[in-house]
Formats: sequence, structure tokens, C-alpha cells
Amino acid sequence: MKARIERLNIRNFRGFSTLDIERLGRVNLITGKNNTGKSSLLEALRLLVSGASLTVLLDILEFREEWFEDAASITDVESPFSLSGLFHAFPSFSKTIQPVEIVSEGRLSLRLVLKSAFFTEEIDSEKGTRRFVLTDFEQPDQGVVLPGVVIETASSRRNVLLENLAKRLYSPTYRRMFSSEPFIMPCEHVSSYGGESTAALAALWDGIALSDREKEVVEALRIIDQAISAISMVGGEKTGRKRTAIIRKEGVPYPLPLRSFGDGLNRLFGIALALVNAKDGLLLIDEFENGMHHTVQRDVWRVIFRIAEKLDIQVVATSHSWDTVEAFQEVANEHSENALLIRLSQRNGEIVPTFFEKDELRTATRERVEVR
Amino acid sequence: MIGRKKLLVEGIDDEHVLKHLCGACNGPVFDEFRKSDGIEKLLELLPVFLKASNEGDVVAVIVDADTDLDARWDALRNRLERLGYTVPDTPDPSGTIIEPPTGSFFPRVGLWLMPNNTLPGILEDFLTFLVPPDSALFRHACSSVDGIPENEIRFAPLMRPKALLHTWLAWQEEPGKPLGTAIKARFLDPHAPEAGELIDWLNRLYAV
Repeated sequence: MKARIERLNIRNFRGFSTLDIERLGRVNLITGKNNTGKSSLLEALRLLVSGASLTVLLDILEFREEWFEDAASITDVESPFSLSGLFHAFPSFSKTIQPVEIVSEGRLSLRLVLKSAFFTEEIDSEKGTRRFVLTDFEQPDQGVVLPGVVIETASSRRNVLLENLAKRLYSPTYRRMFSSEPFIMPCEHVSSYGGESTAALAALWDGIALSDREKEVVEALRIIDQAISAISMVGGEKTGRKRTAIIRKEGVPYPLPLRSFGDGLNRLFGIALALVNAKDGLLLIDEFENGMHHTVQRDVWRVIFRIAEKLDIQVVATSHSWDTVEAFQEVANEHSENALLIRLSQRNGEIVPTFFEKDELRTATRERVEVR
Repeated sequence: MIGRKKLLVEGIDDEHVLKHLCGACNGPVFDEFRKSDGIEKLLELLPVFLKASNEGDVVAVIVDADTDLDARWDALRNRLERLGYTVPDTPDPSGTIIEPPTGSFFPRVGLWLMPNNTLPGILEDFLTFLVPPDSALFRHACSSVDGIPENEIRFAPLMRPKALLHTWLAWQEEPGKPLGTAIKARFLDPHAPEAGELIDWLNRLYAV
């Protein structure tokens, strides 16, 4: 079957002035030295399939600590541009910043454009409404001409004032409101830290509790510990009592908190939970190897390949690790699924992709050719 | 040059010969040696090796022409053309240098077919060019090898120079030196014109 996203073209996003990913497989491993934009590529995908939902936008900015908290100064052109990090080469705010453009083709053809703009307030005194409209003004003018961004997708166009974005970030009400924005397709993201917040895990857990997919999660955890027989999430019904994941282990008469197990099991829980929730969508894993001993990585890839096929999920993971490349290669060659290693590297100041097919990867790992 | 000087060869003998030859006559210092186990493995490795190269890398490839120089050339050309390289129909007698395809970031590639891009043969054919021409001992080794009774010849005709060279090396002051060391010990002359051509090709290739 055709990949959900077969081609991806990125313009002016973070470190990429132009990045054309000519092909993507069912399961993809992105490698490259530091600063070649592996994580940025995952961010581009998250923005694209969420239609640049504000939740994702702010999550990305917060994770990178790129959000400038001084919201009061946001209309001051001298102050840092709060979305600067999303655009190529950290520009200051102006109307003429090269717009971010992310386009995919495949079963899912999507388009996202993010461009800077100035807005003025338009008041309809008859209806008693007010709204912000694009203006030709070149400079901000306190309270009258305001900086913002236009977010265009294939089906929508939103104007977002920078000051409203700041309010949303700091207002729990707004955040709740926007967390329910529907994505164009399911897209689960496992960050490099692996210690996803318990709240985030809980939402994923609730999506699959007592289903066959829960069994898959338990099965995955047994890669690390054969004695695990069940897992659940409890608590959270009262404020002050946080939800926690608990594990039933053979030979232990009471459940144990997941957190009492090692990093590897916690990481694997995050990955497995995200995986089964990504049904008919996209799973993104940043720094796959984090927390996981190399001996378990093969089996984790096996779970990912098997479930990705079963639940029609496209997977994009990043890695720095040779162990991960070897494990990926071995498992990819056990499967008929289309798997690809995409290495990002700097050439002439640009970031360019190189594609390695399964058979090429087999040669590369046998001969220890550096493809990271 | 910001990239690395890489050399891809078929086996350990090629590696040692090239190292000693370059060391003896101002040849390049290689940043990376890659020996694969024979021609089949090398042909499989070549595209992966080129794709995995970094900015500014230059890759020299030295293989034996073996019995059919045209077939060996076609095999190499085929692998390179699939990556978009433009490869001449026949090897350049003084060593082929191929620029990366326009718009690609693949490395510059050099191809050398042992012994001299023109004749069929193997590494040891090239090394016989380095035997001092006045060596009576070598002539003796030749007649010894040629005098092996027909039913006792166990090597293929292609391997004759290998048998010859090792026979000759077996009779030096220090018998049985490996090929590379034989250059260092000057049993083999690194300043022979044929060696000069090879070194010159490498220097031209790596001069970016």
C-alpha cells in the first residue's frame, strides 16, 4: 500500500531553507550529525498533520524553550519575535520573512503555510463585532497595527495575533480549549526525553484500555521483563492524587508503580502506548535509543514493524546510535514492509537527505559504513 | 580540502602495496582505507560507500581488471551510472577521474583497473612492472615457474604473476616478505614509471 506520506517538501522551516524528502517508507529511521535537523523534521510533520494546531505549536516552542515570556513587549518590533525559531535562520519580525511551507504528497496530500503579517482591528458597529484583518502597513503601531501570523492549510486560513498566542500559552482555559482541536489524522509523538508527562500517558491509556491494543502494550513491556502480566493507570479522580501507571508482575502479590522500574521500561511504555494510539496515522519517535539497552532494541523494532503494518501506521524515528541502525536494519530485512533510512547531512550549508534502502543498509551494517 | 581521502580496494595486499608505494614516493596520505573481501563485495559496497560519504570526500577505487577488462569496467560503470555519474565507455589509460553528477553531493571518484587500465590482469601484474628490469633472479624465477610440469600447475593462468612474484620474493636476502614490505625493502622499485602513473593519478584525483 502507498505510504501515507510519500514525499515531504519543507521550505524555510528552522534549519531547513529547502529540504525535499523525495520518498518515505512505512517505517523510517532518520539519522544525521547534531544540528542536521532530525528533530525539526519530526516537528514539521507534527505541524503539518495537526494543521499547525496551537497545542502542537506551543508544545514545540516550549520544549525548545523558544517561547519568550515577555508577552507585554510582543507588539514592540524591537522585542524578540516569539515564533522566530520556527522560521529559517531566526529572523526578527517583519512582514517579509520567508514563509514556512510544509507540503506532503501520498495517500495524504497536505499543505501548511505559516507567514508573518500585520493586522488591524476592524469593527463592525452594526453587528457589534470586531475582528482583525490583514493590513498593508509595514510597521507595528501600538494598539492599531499588530504583528501576527497567517496559518494556511489546504482547507483553512487562520489569523493569529502574537499577543493572542501569548495569552493562550499562559491561560489554562485557552489551553484546554485548544487541546481538543482535531488533527487531520492521528499523530503521536514520543519525545527524546521519554518521560512523557503522566497526564499525556493517561490520555493515551484511556484511548486503549481493555482493548486488544492494551494487550499489545503488555506484550511490548514483556520484551524487557517477561514477568509482567498486566498494566493499568490509576488515580487522578481527586485533585492532588496524580494518575500513575502500575504494573502487575508474576510473583509479586501487589501492583508496582511503573516509575519504580528502569528508564527502559518507562521509555518502552511511552513508545508502545503512542504506537497503538497512532492507528491509521503517524508515529514519531525522537531519539529512539534513549533509555533502551541495545539488546532490547531489535524486539522493540519488531513490535513497531508488526503493529505499524497491522494498524496501518507510518513511523518516523530519529537516532544517533549505531546499535539502533543495526537493529533497524536487521528487523527491516525480516519484513516485506517498505523501510528506509534517511540520513541528513550538511552540504554547502544546506541540509540534504540521502536514502538507504534495506539491502543497502544490510551492506552498510555488515561493512560498518557510517550512515549515522 | 575539507573532505577525506578515501581508498576502496579488494583486499589486504592492495592496501599494503598502496600504503608503501605512496609512502615511498610522495603519494597521498589516505584518511580512510576500505578493503572489501573480493570484487563482488566491493561492487555491492561501492554505491553505499559513495552515498555515505561526507562533504568534500574523494573516493579512489582500485580493482583488478582480471581476465576481462571490459566486463569489469562495465560492472563499475553500471554501479556509478545508477547513482547518476557520467562514466566514459573505456577507462582512461592514465587512470580515470569522474566528477560528481551535477546537483548531487556524491564524491569525486577515481577508478584504476590493475595493472594499468589497459591490460587484463591483477595487482601482481602491476608489481612485476616494479621488478628491476636487470634482475637475473627474476628471469630465473620466470623460467622456474614456466618449467613447472603441466600436470603440477595448480594455479589459474591469471594467477601466474602472483606465483612468479612470490617465488622471486622467496629467494631474496630475507625470503618471503609480503608485497608491501617488498616495496619498503626496495626489492620492488617504487620509482618505476608504471608506479609513477598510479601515484600521479592519485595526486590528481585528490587535488581539489
